[in-house]
Amino acid sequence: MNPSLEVGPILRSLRHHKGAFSLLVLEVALGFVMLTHTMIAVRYYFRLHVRPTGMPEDQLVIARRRFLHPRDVETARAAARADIAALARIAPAAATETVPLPEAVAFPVALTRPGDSQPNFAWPVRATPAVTAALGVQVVAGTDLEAAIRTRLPSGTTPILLTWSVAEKLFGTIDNAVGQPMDGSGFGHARVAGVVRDFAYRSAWVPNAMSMVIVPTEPVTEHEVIYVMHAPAGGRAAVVDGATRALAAIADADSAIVVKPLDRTATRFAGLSSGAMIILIWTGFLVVAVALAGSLALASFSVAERTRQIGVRRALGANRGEIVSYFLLENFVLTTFGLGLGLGLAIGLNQVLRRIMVEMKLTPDEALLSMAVFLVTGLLSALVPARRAALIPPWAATRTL
Amino acid sequence: MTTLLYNLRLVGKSLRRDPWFTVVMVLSQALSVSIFVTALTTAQRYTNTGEVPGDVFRVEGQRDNTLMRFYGGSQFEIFGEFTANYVTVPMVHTLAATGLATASTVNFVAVMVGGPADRAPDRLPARFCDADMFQLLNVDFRYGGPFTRADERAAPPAPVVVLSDLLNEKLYGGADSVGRTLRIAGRDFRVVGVMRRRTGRMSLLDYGVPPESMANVVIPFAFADQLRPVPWISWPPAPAGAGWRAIADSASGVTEYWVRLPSEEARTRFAAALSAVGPQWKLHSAQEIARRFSKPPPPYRVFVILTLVVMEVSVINLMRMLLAKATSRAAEIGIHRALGAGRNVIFSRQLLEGVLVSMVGSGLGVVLAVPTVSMFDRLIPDMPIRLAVTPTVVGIALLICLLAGLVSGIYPAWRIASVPPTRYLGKV
Repeated sequence: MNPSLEVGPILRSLRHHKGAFSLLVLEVALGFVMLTHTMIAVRYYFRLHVRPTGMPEDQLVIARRRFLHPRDVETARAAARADIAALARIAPAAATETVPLPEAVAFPVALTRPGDSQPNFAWPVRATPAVTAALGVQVVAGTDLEAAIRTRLPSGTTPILLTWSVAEKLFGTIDNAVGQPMDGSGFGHARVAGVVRDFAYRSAWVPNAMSMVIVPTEPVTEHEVIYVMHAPAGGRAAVVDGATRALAAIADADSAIVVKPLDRTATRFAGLSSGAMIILIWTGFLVVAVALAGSLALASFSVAERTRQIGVRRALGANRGEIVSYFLLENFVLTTFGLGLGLGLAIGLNQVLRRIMVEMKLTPDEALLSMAVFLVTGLLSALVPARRAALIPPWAATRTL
Repeated sequence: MTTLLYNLRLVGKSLRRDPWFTVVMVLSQALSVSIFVTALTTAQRYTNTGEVPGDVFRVEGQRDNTLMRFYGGSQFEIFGEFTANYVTVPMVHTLAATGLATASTVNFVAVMVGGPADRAPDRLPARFCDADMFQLLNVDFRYGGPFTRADERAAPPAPVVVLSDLLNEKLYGGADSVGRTLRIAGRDFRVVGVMRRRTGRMSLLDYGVPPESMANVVIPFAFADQLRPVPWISWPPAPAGAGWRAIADSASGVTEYWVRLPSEEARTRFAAALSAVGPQWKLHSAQEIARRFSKPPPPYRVFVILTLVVMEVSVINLMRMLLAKATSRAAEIGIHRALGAGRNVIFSRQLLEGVLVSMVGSGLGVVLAVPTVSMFDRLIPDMPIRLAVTPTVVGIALLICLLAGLVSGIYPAWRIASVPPTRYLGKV
């Protein structure tokens, strides 16, 4: 078959069935819009789901000492110091304000350079100085907090650590950042003691997830103290066991101890991303299934209505292969029109959706993949009527003439 | 009526003639409607307008625009709003001292250590408020009732608490827990009531509460000094590692402050008292706040839009199928026309077929939405408030589906009705 010879009949057929074909084009266009955006959303949640946090999560252990009666802050701190001393004999340990990958979001701190009023937001990790070792994050420039605290800083100046992303954003390079003065909401004057590799303490879900600032403090409340420990590879169970015994050995009857391995998959956000992916994939599947089921169901009508047309073509010498090719080509032309229209609509809708969620960015990957899906399903749905049409004998043309 | 029944009989015959085709039309519509209804239930969770009386207000300051931009376009955009919602404890005392409000309450959430007295203590989210909160925010009760001003003002205050229905479900499996004892921060409290939540919806109480703390115990604010809560959120952030007393005395806003101001004069005088504290403080009506928070978070808004596109695909699909079906029955329609049926008769019959298929599909879709919504709830543990297919959602969905059915049916009906009978008869 020479496809160029089919253009004329196809165009005439399109004109003749313009109502039905317009609807097909529109359905493909809207289906493409839907499938593309479903893929964008799935990509977004997939990236969130698998994005590394920069922490060795499978080696971290969380311990808590909960006070059965509120204790004043100084007493709580004394308990925390005793606990850390006991825990540090098992593995690197630090007291932190919240657990890693907390369920709730919080406010970031605003970092400003002296003389620059532009705030740069970073998520604070308020913890005792050994927190870098306890979290297993690597210092890549300057010193860690324990070393920084041993140096003499001006009174009222806090040594802080920045993640690579923040340091580069504020000072160009990580080496330039070390030793620089800064101001931070909540902790005042500070000096950058060091830079650590990027990590996302508050999960990958929050904006600027890798922008972190580590602030040394003794983070206790009147109700509990939270500890993070870094177990050696494969030794987490032993650390959980050891930490439980070490904390229990400290005579403190008015408290309860909970020690657990950190489990990213059990966090609310991990559940959200995996669930959202399943729901979105189901929604995308529905669209393709609805379109495909409709097309397949239409097959018999499509052929029945065009029996005469096909009979005439057969009578004029077209063989069965050419009839099949004709239907496939016709469907290809219509699907292509639909995808062209759909691309325009998808770009328009994407503008709207990005105002709602900035991460919903349309990229060629999703567009091309959706096009491929619709071309394949379009051709598959055309194959059924095409094969049925090819069975129509030439004398069918004479039945209704 | 007779004509309608006659048309319905003809439509029924037509649909029975191609049963598989009819099944595909109905199922396609049903699947699309089920996901659309699911999206509507997610949006419904955030609708709470009209829940509170018109004379209830909250004191709000100025939003931090830089932080609003920081969170904007992310899943956490509501967080920017929180920078305006919290007042300091000294400010609460100042405003209460004016005596202008007929009712007032603080409202904040903290995580305590406690639980049923007969079990090991655990993490226990707690809401601290005054007794007036229950009437200010129209709280309904499943069991028992609220604690009262008398409970709060007794010397010492009566150790009574109220449970949210979520916490009651978690601790007591939803049974009547009135009279049970909760030990919170080492002190025993008697449960006097369990609140009732509107099905499938957040209430104003839930805004500003992290999902893992929505199952909470409501404790009289009079116990704050004894229990020393650490409010989960404060703006500007409270000093790290500070105790309750230091936080309560600091310049950090830690609590919402709700008031009832029935008269215009009281409102004006209260607004003046607020201005004296700072020009940024204003009164915002509870209804305005409810409307503001009625917007679902971005992912849900995107989901609703996407399911609307699914519905459009479904409408066009149905339109295509109805058109093809009608075209294939050209001869039958030609005979009807030749026997005297007017265009309007053919049109209305075709339209009826479209609407009937659409509504049957939609009805089935609503039924399918129940397991879909349940699956959504299980798969997406966003918050403990379960989604629910309420009559409102069903009503809205069916109304939209009726419109969709009309849209689906009009074009095929018009096409078939507008062709002259001679053309049909040529196909006999």
